[in-house]
Amino acid sequence: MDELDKLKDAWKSQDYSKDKISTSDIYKMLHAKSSSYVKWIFYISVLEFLLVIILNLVFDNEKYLKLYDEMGIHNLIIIVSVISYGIMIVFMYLFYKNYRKICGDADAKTLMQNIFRTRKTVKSYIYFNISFFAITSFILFYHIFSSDKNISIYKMTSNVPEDFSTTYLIIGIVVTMILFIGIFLLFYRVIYGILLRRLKRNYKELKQLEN
Amino acid sequence: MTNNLEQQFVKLLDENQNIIHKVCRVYTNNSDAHKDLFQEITIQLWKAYPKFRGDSKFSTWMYRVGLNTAITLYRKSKRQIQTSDISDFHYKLESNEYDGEIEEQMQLLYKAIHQLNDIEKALILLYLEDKPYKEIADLMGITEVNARVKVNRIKLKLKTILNP
Repeated sequence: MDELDKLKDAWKSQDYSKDKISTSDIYKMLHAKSSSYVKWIFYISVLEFLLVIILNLVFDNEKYLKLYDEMGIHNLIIIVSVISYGIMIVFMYLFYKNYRKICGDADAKTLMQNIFRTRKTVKSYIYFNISFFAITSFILFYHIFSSDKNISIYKMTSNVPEDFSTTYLIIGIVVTMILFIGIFLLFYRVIYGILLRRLKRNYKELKQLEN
Repeated sequence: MTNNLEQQFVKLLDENQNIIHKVCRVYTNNSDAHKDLFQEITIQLWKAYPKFRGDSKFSTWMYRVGLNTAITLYRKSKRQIQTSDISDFHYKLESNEYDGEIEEQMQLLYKAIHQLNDIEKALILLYLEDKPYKEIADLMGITEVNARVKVNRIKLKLKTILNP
């Protein structure tokens, strides 16, 4: 019999009376606020969806709509918006479906996998949006800069002097967009990393047991 | 209806609350953190209770939710200190047949357990509770063989910490 086996008996006869929680306190706890990671994951995910909606609304304002109208791309923008909102609904449904699967009475590994799947849905949505934003911007700017009329409309709406070099304007737009996406991705990865750090470490440990 | 369910749940939880204390003692090292984790486990058990169908014993189900909360769901509060202060967990044994030496060894055992990672803590707790390897494997979502191998490795690790 080894040392730990001997300690097992002592382990089982530990006295818990000093820790005992009264039934009235248990009742109170049932209605207390949870500080669970999953709650935070849910809030952050909802915020991410809201952020995309807000950004869409910002770019759908009157000034831009007028600009699209003048350039004759109003219908294209409507089609793009419909597709974008449709995809958002699909992602929201998938997120909610995965979120509902998270339950504390699954085995430890399945629980972790369900949490990762839920986060992955939102993460994929964010990456999808960035790609969608980059592609639609490319089409939009291609449309603008392939017509002199549209270039001057764009310069006028964006308060850029008419004689300002179009090449520099394109370079400026591309650099700003790359910087914007880069900073956003970096920030996103840091937040995402902090949120799931402990979970990832524990999941890795469980996975290692399988090898 | 809800009140009945609540009463039924509180009664069961009260009868088995030692299980939560066991988990809390393994994962926390001061009384504030112990209470925080106890509360979070209680909330998670209550949330999952409508799904409890009695396929397993209530106590087994409590271990499952309790350990999941400690390993995965619980967000440690700022009150959780990283270093373990042995004076804060002076555990008493129920029976008088154990002498001071055993109590001292138990405190050293807790100190050693607190140095393990979250998964190792769960496995060693279940081992010390004499849970069959099949049940340990089911709770963790791993195979029985892997559970056995890992528990043996943790036992060796603990022995090294206990007898440096």
